[in-house]
Amino acid sequence: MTERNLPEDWLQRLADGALSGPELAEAEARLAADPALARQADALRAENAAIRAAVPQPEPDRLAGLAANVKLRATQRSEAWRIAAMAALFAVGVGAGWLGATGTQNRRMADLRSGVEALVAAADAAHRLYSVEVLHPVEVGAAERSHLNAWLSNRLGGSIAAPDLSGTGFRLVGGRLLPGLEGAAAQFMYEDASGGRITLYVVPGSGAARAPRFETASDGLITVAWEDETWRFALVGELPRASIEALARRMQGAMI
Amino acid sequence: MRDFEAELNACLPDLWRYAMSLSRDRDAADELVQDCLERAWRKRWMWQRSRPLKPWLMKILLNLWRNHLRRGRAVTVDHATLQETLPAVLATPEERLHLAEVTREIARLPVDQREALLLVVVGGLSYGDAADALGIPAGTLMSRLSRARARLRKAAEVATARNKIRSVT
Repeated sequence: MTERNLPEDWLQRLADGALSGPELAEAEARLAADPALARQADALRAENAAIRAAVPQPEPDRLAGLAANVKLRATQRSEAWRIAAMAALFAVGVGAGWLGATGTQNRRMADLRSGVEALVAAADAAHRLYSVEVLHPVEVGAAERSHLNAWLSNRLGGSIAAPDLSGTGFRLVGGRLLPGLEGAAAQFMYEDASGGRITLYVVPGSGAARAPRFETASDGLITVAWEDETWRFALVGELPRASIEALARRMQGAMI
Repeated sequence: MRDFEAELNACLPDLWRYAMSLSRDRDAADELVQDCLERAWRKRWMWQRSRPLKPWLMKILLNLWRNHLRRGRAVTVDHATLQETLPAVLATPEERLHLAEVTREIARLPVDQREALLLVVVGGLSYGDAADALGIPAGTLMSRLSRARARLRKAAEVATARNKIRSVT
């Protein structure tokens, strides 16, 4: 007897709904004539039912949220590229003065990419664009914090989590994925009771820890940039210098 | 002409459940489905309108899942995960226990058998579509399914025997 003729083969097809027409009729006739086979068929169906029952049904809201996230990301991709381009232009503008005489264009671009100016420019551009956003300030909200952290860690290639600012008056709104200086970047957004927003921009680091450094942007934005062994950070907000410094210290503490 | 988005949304529940059954982790399932949808939107021109979308989506999801595993993320089905991921609606403790056992045994199946079994039973693909998504001949699919089921049955018998001994002593 070959394997194909084992009763199991057609019983399995029957349980998986792979029989139809005359094949199905024949199978049913055989089951009717043989109680032992009918019991086997029932057992297979019960096994399938158990396998299915062991997997939860997704909540429709959850699925709708996932689909909406993806659509948003797909439509915002072009916008995200615009930020990257803006950041690059800004960095070239800043860097041209002091790099003008030092060497080739390639060298200049490499320096710019690694420079704190490029980081600050990218963080500021992202802050300006999204901190004023009413409908979709973030891609993934604070309610899905663990998913947000897992997703961004996955995309940035290392473990990253939105720092906890409880007690400072700021609460996490959520975060999004953005183009970074070389690969991906994460932006976490926080909000206080009056709706004032600060954002933390994160990209993979160079491996050298650096102390906080302040950059003041033209129209009231203050950016604090620092680096630990793994990440480079830029915290952006329209706050008094002492306040944003305290928040940056708090974040540094939370990251360790 | 079929509407891509409507068809995509119709596939979402089965897609999520397949991701969930493979990963046993809600966050991972969300992430897999999102990445899958993103890829599908990006490559929608590759979808042939004359064919159903679901097998194609399942194939994308499966590839993402395999990449996920390749990055060294093991599937762990510990007690806490089970309690969290089993459906909340189950009535009796016995039922929960039985499904926990089934879930644990599925996690212990060789990866090729597990992917095949879940793709057909949870993902709801036909044999032809499942074989295509897995990149194997239909006969190979059938034998993976029956080997997976034989293992599950054996494990269930062992568990039943164990419980009997326990209730006797």
